[in-house]
Amino acid sequence: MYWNVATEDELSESVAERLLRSLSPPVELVNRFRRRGFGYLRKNAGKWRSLARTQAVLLLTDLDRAACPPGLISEWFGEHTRMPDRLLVRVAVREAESWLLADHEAMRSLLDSHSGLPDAPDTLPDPKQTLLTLARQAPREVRLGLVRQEGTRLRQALRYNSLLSEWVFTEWEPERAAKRSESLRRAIHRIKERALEFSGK
Amino acid sequence: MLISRLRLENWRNFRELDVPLRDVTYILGANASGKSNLLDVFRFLRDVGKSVGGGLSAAVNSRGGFDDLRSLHSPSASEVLVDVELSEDADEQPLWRYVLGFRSLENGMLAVSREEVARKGEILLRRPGPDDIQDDALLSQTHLEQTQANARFREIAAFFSGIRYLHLVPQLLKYPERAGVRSLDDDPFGAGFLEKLAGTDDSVRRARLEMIEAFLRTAVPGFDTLQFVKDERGNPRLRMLHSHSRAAEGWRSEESFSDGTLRLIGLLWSLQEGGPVLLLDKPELSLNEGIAERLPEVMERLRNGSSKRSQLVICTQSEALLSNPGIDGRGVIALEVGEQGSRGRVLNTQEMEALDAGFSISEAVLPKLRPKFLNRLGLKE
Repeated sequence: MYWNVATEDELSESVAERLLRSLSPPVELVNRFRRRGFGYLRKNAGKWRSLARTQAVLLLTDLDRAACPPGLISEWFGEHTRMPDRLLVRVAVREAESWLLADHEAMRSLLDSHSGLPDAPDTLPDPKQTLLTLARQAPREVRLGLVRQEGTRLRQALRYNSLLSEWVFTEWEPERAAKRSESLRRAIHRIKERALEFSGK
Repeated sequence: MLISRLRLENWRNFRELDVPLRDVTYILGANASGKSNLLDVFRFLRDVGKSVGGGLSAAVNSRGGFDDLRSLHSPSASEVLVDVELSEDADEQPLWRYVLGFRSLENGMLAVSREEVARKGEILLRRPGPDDIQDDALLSQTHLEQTQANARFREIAAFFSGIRYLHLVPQLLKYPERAGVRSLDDDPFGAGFLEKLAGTDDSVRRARLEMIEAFLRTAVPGFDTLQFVKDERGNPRLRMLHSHSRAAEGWRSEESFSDGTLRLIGLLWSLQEGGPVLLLDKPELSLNEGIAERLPEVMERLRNGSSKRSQLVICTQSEALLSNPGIDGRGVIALEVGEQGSRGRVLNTQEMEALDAGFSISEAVLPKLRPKFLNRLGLKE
């Protein structure tokens, strides 16, 4: 089975790819669909369904301010429509950053500190701000790469996506992170389930 | 007639290439994947076929000599081979086939190692032939370049001679004296473009410029009028007027046009000109994204409007240009760089399925050609 990942930003793309990469036997990733900005994934709901007739699509999005994942999915794809088996929509609660923060070991190696790492990152109201706040304590190179201060606000710095993406591929362990994030645990479970179902097809 | 297939051996980045071409063919690839080198094959054929100022030696020498042309990935003794098929229509059987192989001899001379012409499968020429074996000096030239020798296949010689390349360099047009040349060759890089306009029949020029003017009014804010004039020294010039300025003071000539406007004028002109093949190298350069997005449809419209419909071969890596889901995926060649140089391929089943699902080339294909800054091992690709 051929797999695609569909995301709205580089970091989510790396996370989605990393999740597929941990599958065994390995699967073939044919394409990464990504357009910045709100609405790309939603706008193309019909196209994902259509592509999923022949190839698997892992669509990864953030819950952001939506109330709950089922609500988001029915809003995008329609209330009572049956999703194609090959289309797997997973929603990070609330952002991909929650899933990253959930792997404390990998976080420690990135930030060189373990103080302040959240025990239940899925409950954070703004996981990205939490990550940026923690990054201020990191060694210089990581700190400057990840975070910049704009007035009183913390904003992502220029290397935010590339540095974290690299770390996702080299340090971050989805299974380890899943112990602290229910939404990630379920995502991994469903991806494995589908991959098994599709294997050999 | 159009070039329906191109096969190469040892040409620049390409140790081997074998791709079909259509009425409109987009060649995609990252930087340095060989897009421009691939376009250059067509100009090369034109240069070889030129009876005056052309020929094999001139065509090779103007490209830096045989060693610059030959793929770095091939043994030095190997031949460079260019093999094209011409058809009336992309889906029809080829009408003509022209094969040219050449190599460098030990004495540094260039020699035709193979030249073949076939029409509907019937061989009209196969070299080296008996004459060549008697007198190997004959092998320094192709029959394509010799008016006496190409009588039976003059149709393809004429086809090649009509191949045009558009790569308008605004700086050369604005400051021809700085470039030191008026015109590099037949291709309108710069000042040659204005001369080409001057050499065109008045009514034809007027009609083409009117069309360009109409497009610029929709694409360039404030633009109103485009005119072709001759200055006091008799030099051809373009000038334009913006809608908010008064005619007496508002005329501006081409050196004050923006690069994007100049490129657009060159592109729109060339598309109307017709001729067998038009090669476009990164037509999106200096254009606003909104305009680049519309280029495929504009190119199609102008091409269809011309009585001599050109085949278009377009090199690009523009997301905007390739975002139109109406682009025919069968006319897309993707270049990928590997250890053995560049490889070209048509779209695979998965990519065609993504287009069927409604995605554009820029979504379904371009992401794979992006340079990978990250080491993403583990997944088979």
